[in-house]
Amino acid sequence: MATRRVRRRARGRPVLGGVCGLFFGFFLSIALTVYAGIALNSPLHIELVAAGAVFGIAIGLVGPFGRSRGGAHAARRG
Amino acid sequence: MRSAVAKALTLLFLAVGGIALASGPASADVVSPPGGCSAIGDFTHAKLTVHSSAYVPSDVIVVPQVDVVQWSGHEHDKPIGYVGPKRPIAGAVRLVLPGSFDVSIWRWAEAESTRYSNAGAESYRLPSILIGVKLKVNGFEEDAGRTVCSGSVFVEVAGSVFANPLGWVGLAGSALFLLGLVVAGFRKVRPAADDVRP
Repeated sequence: MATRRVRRRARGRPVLGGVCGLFFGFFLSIALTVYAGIALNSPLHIELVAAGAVFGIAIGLVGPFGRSRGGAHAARRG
Repeated sequence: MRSAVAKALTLLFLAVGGIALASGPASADVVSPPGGCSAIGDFTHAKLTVHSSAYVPSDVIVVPQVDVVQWSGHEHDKPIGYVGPKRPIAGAVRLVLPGSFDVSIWRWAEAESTRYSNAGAESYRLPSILIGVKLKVNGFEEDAGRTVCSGSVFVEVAGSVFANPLGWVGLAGSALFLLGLVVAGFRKVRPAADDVRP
């Protein structure tokens, strides 16, 4: 019986991150419009949505949360 | 509701910006050229009188959510009741959105008009989703195909921002999708190609 050698790759979800980032920027711009007095015609709204999408994709690519690769292997080895 | 908002916004702009419907008069020193048009808005319940010549385009005029506006508008300071040569007139009031997009909320045109000023009274009730929102409205007035004046001003509806349901929607949506961002940032563990046993 062959020894099962496991190599795991840990990473986030860039598509989910992009979608969530986009909507996060959208809703944040709504909240800022009401509570922070950002004018409705301000370009900040579009910039927030775009920045949110980019930030979300980056978060998904980097995957900064959860166990690291070494940590995952260490857990398995343990 | 859109039409109600459009009408209410237009009434506000009529009051504070001075664009008058189908009668020729238009804005004020918030306009270009200065003095091309002028207007006065008198908010009856709030006991607030707004002279368009007292503001510049970057000013924010806070108006009541519900009120009755006694307004008058003048082209080249012509008094109410003044009549002059017939000419075609046209104009519009627009809400400025992000990206410099304009949405026309009211347009008017008249093939032959002799009026150079107008006055009236309008009651309005603005929806609570506009409370605290800084809205930029602009407008213009054309007289015989020539732009007599154009201008813009910011309008904000008075009231507690916490009474605006849009703010709560924004907060809730932000929290929800922030959670989604955190989930997207968690590393997923999946087997690599050599993990699959033949």
